[in-house]
Amino acid sequence: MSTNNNNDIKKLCTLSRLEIDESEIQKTSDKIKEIISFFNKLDEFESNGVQEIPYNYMKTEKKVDELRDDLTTLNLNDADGGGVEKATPFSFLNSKNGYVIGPRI
Amino acid sequence: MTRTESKTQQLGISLKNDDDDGNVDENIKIGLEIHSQLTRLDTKLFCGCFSNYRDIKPNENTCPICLGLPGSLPLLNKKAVEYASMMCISLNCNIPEKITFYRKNYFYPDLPKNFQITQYNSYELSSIGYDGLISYFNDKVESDREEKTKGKTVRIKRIQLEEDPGKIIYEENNSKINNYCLIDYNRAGVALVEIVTEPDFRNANDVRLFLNKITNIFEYLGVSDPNLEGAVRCDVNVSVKGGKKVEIKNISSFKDVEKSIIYEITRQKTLSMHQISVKSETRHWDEKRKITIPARTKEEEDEYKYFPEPDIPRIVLGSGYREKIKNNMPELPIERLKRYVDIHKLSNHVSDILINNKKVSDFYEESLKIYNSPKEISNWIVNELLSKTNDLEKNEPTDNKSNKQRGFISHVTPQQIADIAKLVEEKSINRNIAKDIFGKSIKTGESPLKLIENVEIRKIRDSETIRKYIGEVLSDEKHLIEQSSTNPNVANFILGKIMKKTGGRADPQLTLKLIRESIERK
Amino acid sequence: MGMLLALGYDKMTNLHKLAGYQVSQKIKNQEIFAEEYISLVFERISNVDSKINSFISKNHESALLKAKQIDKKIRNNEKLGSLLGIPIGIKDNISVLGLKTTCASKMLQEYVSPYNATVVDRLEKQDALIIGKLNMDEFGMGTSSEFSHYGAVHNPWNQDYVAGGSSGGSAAAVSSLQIPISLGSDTGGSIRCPSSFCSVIGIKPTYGLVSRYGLVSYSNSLEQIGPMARTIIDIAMTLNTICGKDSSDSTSTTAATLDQQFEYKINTVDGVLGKNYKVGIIDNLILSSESQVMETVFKKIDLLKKHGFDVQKTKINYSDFALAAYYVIATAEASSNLSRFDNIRYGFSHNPQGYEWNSYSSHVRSNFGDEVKRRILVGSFVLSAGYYGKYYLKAQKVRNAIKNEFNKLFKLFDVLILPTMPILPFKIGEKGAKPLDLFNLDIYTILANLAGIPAMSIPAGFSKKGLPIGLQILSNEFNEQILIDIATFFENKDKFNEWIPNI
Ligand SMILES: [Zn+2]
Repeated sequence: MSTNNNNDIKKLCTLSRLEIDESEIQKTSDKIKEIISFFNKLDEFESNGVQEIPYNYMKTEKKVDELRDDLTTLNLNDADGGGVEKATPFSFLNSKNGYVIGPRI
Repeated sequence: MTRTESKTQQLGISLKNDDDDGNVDENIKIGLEIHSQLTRLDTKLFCGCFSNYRDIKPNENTCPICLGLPGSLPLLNKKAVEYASMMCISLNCNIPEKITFYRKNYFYPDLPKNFQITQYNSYELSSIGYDGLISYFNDKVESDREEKTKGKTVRIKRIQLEEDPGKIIYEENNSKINNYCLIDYNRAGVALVEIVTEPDFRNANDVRLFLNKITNIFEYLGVSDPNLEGAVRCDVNVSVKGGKKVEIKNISSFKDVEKSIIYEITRQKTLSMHQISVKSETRHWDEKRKITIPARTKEEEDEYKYFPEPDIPRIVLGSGYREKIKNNMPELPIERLKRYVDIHKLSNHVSDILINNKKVSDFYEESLKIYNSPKEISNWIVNELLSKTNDLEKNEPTDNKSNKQRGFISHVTPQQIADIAKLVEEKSINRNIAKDIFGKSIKTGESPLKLIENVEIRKIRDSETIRKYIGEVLSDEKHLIEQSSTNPNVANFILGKIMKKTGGRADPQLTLKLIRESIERK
Repeated sequence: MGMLLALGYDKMTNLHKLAGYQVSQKIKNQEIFAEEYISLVFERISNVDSKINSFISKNHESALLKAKQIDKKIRNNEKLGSLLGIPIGIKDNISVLGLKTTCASKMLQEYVSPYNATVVDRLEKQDALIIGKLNMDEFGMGTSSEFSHYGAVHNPWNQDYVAGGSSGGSAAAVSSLQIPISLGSDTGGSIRCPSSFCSVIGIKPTYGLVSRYGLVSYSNSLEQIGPMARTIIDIAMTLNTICGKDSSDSTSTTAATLDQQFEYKINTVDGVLGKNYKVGIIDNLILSSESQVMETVFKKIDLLKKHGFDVQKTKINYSDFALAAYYVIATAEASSNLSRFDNIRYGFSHNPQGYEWNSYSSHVRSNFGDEVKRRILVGSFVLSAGYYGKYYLKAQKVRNAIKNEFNKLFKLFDVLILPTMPILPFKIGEKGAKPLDLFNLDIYTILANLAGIPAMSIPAGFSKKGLPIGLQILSNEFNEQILIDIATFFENKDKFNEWIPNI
């Protein structure tokens, strides 16, 4: 985040699809800068002599054989619980002839 | 040695793309991003909804997962990973031991979660395939056997598994008169494989050949049916030397891919001729007007905020995975070609024609099962059946490959081909008669064996009548008797004449015997 | 209603003080009908919750129906579930079929879930009664349960004070004797903080022990669903019900312990003492807490020593980086998770006709609360082009270092002890001007989320003004039994299950 103007925060709002009142922009910008500068503390981490680790180390792993089979009815037994197959039909917020109504693109 | 170089050695193909007819412009670079649905899966990539969303009422092929409802989690389809791996192997890509999924974040109403689960290689090697290489051939080059080595190759940058978005439509098919859009999420979450090539193409024709080649491969693999509407879509990038790369998004027919490239090359060349620099941009293909038009550019366009999908663990394929998939993979066209040439002893040319279309090749294989004569069967398919199908097409011109295949299949069965081949080989029926019978068989759908029976019933087996015909021939062409002492083919020549006179009704064995007798006697 | 008379008026009025397992026992023994009990619970809620604001929506009709079915099952001698007739409240970010799941946000005001979270399915299978959805910080983003579209949750011990967050409704409803058990979710302390502030037990299980299917994601790689209750037996019973592999959640128990059977037991105090647990005291963190918190924690340590536990001082490194790393990961994941709320498929009443997509999405999304908006913006920033290595990747490295720290510590100790919160509960509206002031409150709790290890908060005592203080206990992954054992010890010695607010 650069220093003085609020262009960064506006760009971030566009990127995040959020509207913030013009009157609130400065306050929001200040708070976000406070958080980002707190995050910059992480820059010091490397100098601590900690051993480099393969990135994304924490991500759990799963064997390919354990993946879901290509079955149209998800076969979830009792022990598994699982609510997938019990879902009721979903009623959309705004719809027409089965289609969901969205804004113009 | 780079990875690509070692791969070319291992595959025994040349990386150099030969300039075959002088039309190739080294200043042009074309790359492709091909999106192919895995249409042969039963379910979507991350949920149990149908992979075949076509012909289902809007939004009835959805569930909490593919609608991205709050709290739902993706469940990766094992078979999708297998199918994508098969595609990687067929394009000589490497498959890593572990794969990861990433989120590509952007807002669009056809994306239920406003991010797409895909793969991304910038932070780690996450995609199912990378560093591939595939050769393809120009038709012209192929038919000229001496120039067989004039192959072309394209490098595959990566292959990734991802989910298809839903579909947005407008009533009356016109976005201008509506102040809203309609969204159908039935397609959302269908498994897509994205194949990204290096910009190794130099002209539009090569691109088409390549696309035909790989979609043919996918058909052989049984992972995707390219004939289904929307099953294969392409993004094309084109750059002309001195200008920036221009991307053309979402083209759904191969004809249009070709046209858009030609249009774009001309456009870019015209710009540079007038000293206008070509800027890096994304353009859309306007199907109706057959031109490319600039897509609205957004400043956040490249801000996809990629990061690893936390709801899908890293998937461990393991070191033996590639071999395991490979061993259970259907035969690839190139392998069939080798078998046809080496074992069936067919020519390269005939084998090529057969394998170029899986349905034709399968038809050939089915016919062989009934009557095992590769030469005769392939001859009937290539020289008779396909040429007839082509004739049919000329009369009803169509852009659609599937019609061609349906036409091909509906006209003839492998049994008919096997029967006709058997008749020719075992009963030594004259080829002209056989063609005649075959023609009737195609028209009526009747079995060639039935048709030949009719011929058999009317067969002339009476020696006197046959002698009469022999006499006629010999009196017309007296020189034949003289020649007969030196030329052993005379007897057969006379037989041909008699067959013509009798409409093929003369019993060939008997006639031949009588011809020999009369020649010797004289 | 004969039973009711038989029990006598006095007993009936005190039924809400019973723990879940006691209620279940009474229903099973036919000392009371499930229907009678649930009606009393409704009454209690309507009397008390106006002061606490712990419920966002109620499920009384179907809970009553279910209670009648249970009574019928008992009459018919049918097989009975382990949570027979126990009313359980569900944090409003966990999906219950047919009920609104608002996440305390205007953005999901009208969203009704068409499916059950796996944990809800499992509770219902054991004959629990889903009684309603509980208040929270919007999408779980907060430490006080003040950031709710439905208003702040009040602390049952002093209603001017916050209940803690983000599962404030879950803690307050249990603490104020409205219900015996609730489910919360914990991304960086969201179960433990309100448990501490409201003086109940709450556990964040090992990452992957409990299915997240149906939990509306805030930060997927950090969070878990867990039970909150006044007694350790209720905690163990509920955890037994909801834990274990779920094929709907690919991240559930993918660890090496896949085949492990999870069945938590309540051991006797002698049994616990017989296990000779080695206890590590995280000295550097205890000393940085507010004096009354520190003193209370040291009292607990003395109690352990007195009963012969092997207690030693230790410390944890990198905790200074941990908070930054935690917020980088949490905001990054949140910014992506919350993208789907564009008010097209579901949300609040609003029609997109006439709008253009970009302006529609920005317009409707401005209905997120300020805290949520801030975290989305921060998360978008740390994931934006060119910053991935500086923030997200670096945060993952810190996370790994923290995990390694705990691996080392758990070679020396079975259990680690520290305060749950560095400070006492604060007054509603007192904090929040500076985002970092709130972030700093999470400093003790986020460690377990980063490392994926289980962590529990148990009631430890009170400040001079009578505000609750919690003790946090940590164990190595999938060692929830040790936490239950330690809690059993304290519950037995302190009788904290009898500490009840006057409401
Ligand atoms: Zn689905």
